[in-house]
Amino acid sequence: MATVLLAATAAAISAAYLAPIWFRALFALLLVAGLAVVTASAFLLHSRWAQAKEAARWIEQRVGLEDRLLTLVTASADARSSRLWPELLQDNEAHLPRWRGARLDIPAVPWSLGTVVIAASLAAIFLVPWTRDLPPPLGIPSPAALGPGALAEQVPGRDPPLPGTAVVHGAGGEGDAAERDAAALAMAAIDKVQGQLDERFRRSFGGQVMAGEADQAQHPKEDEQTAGFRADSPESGIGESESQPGGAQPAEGLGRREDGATTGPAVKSLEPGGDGRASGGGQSARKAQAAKPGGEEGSGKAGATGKRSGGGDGPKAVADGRSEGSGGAGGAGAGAGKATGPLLADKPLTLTGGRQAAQFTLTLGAASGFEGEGEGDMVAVPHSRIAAGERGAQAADRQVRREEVPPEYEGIVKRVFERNR
Amino acid sequence: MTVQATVQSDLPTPQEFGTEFNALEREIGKMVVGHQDAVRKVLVAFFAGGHVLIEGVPGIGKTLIVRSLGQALALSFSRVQFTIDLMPADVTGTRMLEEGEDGRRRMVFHRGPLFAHVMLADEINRATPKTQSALLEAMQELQVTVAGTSHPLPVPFFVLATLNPIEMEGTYPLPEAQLDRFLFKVPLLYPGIEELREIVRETTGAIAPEITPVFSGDAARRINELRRLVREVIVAPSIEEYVAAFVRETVPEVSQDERVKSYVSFGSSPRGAQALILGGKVFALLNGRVNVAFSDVEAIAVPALAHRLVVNFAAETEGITPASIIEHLLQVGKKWQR
Repeated sequence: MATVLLAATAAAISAAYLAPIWFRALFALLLVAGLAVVTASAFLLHSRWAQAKEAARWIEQRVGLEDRLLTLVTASADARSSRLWPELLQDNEAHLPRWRGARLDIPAVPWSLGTVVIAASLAAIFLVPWTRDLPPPLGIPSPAALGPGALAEQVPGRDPPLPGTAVVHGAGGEGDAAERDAAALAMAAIDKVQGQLDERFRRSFGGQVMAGEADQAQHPKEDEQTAGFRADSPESGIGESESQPGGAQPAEGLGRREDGATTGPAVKSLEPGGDGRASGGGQSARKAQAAKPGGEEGSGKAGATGKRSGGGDGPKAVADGRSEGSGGAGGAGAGAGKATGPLLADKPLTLTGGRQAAQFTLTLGAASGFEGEGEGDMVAVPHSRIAAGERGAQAADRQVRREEVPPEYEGIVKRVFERNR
Repeated sequence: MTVQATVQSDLPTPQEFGTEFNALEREIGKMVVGHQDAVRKVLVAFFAGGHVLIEGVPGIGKTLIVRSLGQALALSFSRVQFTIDLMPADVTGTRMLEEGEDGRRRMVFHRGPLFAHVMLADEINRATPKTQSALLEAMQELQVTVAGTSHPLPVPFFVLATLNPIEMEGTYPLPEAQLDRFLFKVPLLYPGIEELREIVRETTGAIAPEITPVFSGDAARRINELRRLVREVIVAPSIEEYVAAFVRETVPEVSQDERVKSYVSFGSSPRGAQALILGGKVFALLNGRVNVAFSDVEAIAVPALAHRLVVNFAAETEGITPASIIEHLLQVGKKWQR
């Protein structure tokens, strides 16, 4: 029982302080150790299971009953037929309090239990402080980088900073507890976004047309929240892609919305003859595919749609310092094409679905600000060390040509987005 | 700790045994100053159904102990002074030609001094082996066979022989077979100064102490009941194993002990194991138990086994006695208890 309690305590401590990977490792270790202790104890008990004779001798040695109990326990049948046998029983009963008080306890802690205690103590002393000092895992924005404003939007019930309020970025903002909360929230949000992206990747490359409108009707809030986070998170590659001018990738998001399909990632078509800009899931992607001989034309059509939506609303939202409304939706469409975890930055993901093969180029880092003026010049400047390392390699991705969007078409797009809100 | 008396049947209770035993000790103690340990061992052997060989220098109280015992027990008592010309018939009895009332002559057995409940064989080693051996059947079989006719001895029958360790000239050391018949061999040591002063005061005064018989009525029947009670005492198998191992360890051919191998010529016979168990049973009752403990066996190991060991010349030259060998085995034999 003590072993189980110790193991549970160690598991609770590790769950409170350790990172998930360390917690899983420690939990598995504790589980294996616990099973080993239980098995060894069972074998040990079985091997040391004392017969009545040995137990009686042990009690005689401890208490000194002058072999009364030993005689009682080990007496032969002839001895039991003695006329003094009742006397022996009565005599043992009279001496019972002498050794009942001593009890058959275990005077020393078993070595197995001691080992568990030592291991748990060492883990509590060394392992937990070490892991607490670890930097946040790659891809998780630090609380300082996120800033209190971004955190406030992710935490229910926490008010965002008022416009005009001075917000101090960096250390010393809200203390360790706030940092942990922020890291956990950021991680949860990123996991959620990545899960959505993965799902949409699969749908897009499976060539399936999803019931986009129905989905949107069912999960509008989810998209808004996700888009809002993308647009607002400084290190999110999703927000960064939003600011890129036009092109086929923003067109994907809008195209799907128009066709009723869910938003999907922007992909680069590897099909021969394709221009590599119009692809992804949804009907517009297939339209672009169908226009393969005149690839530039087909993709340009789709790209025009994208510019009117993703390219138009997204930067506006970012410029306001907020992520909501159409800007969020546009961000979702655009960000799906570029944002993902940092691991995919080194190795562009190549997926094949049906007759298509697509390569993903994902953006790392985050923009804490924008260079230039106006929509067309908005370029995200990554500030994190990850983004800085990958900046050169991804420079080509940022140079996306932006096409002019006809004003009347832009008005149509805005009306569509207004309806979808 | 006393044992509550719940014994069924006609057996005396362990408490009664202890009470009467202690009463005997007190009565004998009126006459015998000191020698409490020797007196206790004599009484233990008596209730165990054995015989005792007392060894001591002249005038130390050997005969006094036996006589006092006979008086306290209120049993028939006889004393035979063994000399070199003592014949077996002088001990066992003999057939004599007698004339009956009808005028016819026939051989009639006349019982010797052996036909008593308590017999003192004083200085038994002065008699010839032939006479000594006359006691063999009586001590073991509790009967005397004369001219083809067996005559049972009275029960209880208790032989108390004395040995004089000095004046060995003209003596016949008891053969091993004879020695083995005695349950215990009890040495009597010189009394201390205080005991000697008390002996002088009591034996030279005007008032001589008197011994009151402990048992009223049929003392022999009561003593036999007490002896049966002793036989009922329970012995654990581990005690029996210990006794067997201990006795076997005294045999040099099979012993693992170097001292036994070096100094012992002949080890104890199985009678030694019987003596250990029987003596242990009486000790257990005296200690308020109905089971034999290892401590009971250890308490009577020396008087029960020492006279059964025959040491060799090397032991005699080095002053190693059988008693010291038994005590050595008691120390090294603790492992046999567990």
